[in-house]
Amino acid sequence: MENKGKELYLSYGCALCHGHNGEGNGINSQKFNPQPTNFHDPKAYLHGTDKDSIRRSIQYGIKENNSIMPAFEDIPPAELDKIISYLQSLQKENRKQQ
Amino acid sequence: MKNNLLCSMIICSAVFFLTYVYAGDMSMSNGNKPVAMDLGVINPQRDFILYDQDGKIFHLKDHRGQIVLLFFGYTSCPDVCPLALSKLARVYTLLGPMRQKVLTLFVTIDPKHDTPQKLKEYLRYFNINAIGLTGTKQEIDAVVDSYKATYEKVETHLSALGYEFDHTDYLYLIDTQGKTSYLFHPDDKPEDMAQIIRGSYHG
Repeated sequence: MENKGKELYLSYGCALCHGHNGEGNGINSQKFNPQPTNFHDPKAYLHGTDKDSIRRSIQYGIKENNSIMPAFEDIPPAELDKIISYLQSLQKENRKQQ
Repeated sequence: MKNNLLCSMIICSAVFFLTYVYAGDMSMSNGNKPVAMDLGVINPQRDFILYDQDGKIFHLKDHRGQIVLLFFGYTSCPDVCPLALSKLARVYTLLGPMRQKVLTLFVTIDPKHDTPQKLKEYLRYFNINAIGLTGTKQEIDAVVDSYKATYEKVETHLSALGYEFDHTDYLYLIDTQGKTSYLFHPDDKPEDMAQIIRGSYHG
């Protein structure tokens, strides 16, 4: 599930801003202020780290705190679930390394 | 009585004008004259020449027989461009094997910053069949004007570059004969777009 989630994360261009490994260091990340979310850091999730909060952030975008995360409305629900699972796995990866 | 009739006529004329202007999804051309953004007005040349992401000369007419999707944007765009290309990733998935017959052209409106190498790297982030195109500002503006697209540079502290571009975000479908036959809007759904693209292909 996480491999498929990463594949989808990459195919939809998320890595452009959030980086190939979700660390918030994509090639466009330096152009924005604030910089894109590092998905490994639970504190960096502006709306929360649970599935529904992440889903809302992706589907409706984030405009608070000067964020310019746009709303990606066209990702089908099943694919969005896989992307969310992948992002949550990055948080677990972060906890294991601490 | 006569004054009331005159007022009514003025109000009706204003309503009619505003309806005509906004219902037709008007936008401003580079000449600051409103033009209707529908296919009746867009009548671009069936060829243009720019330079691709490998620095080679690019002729649109060399791609007859393919469906071409044309988009004007820039690699530092925070929202409109990644959204459009992300949606196209979904469209290409829906097209399946037909995806090889559909070429997306991403024409940069920021040629100073978007080098061919940057364009190539940028487009790799999306699972689409795309080529980045650039040229001099004059060469690019000629193509932008031909498609009645518009863009404007705006200074902003929200970008580390110190600027962003406000730009139109239509996607032009150029059919296998080189004719611009459809105009996709930002709100169009990927499923509908894929269906229209399939219907436009006459291989």
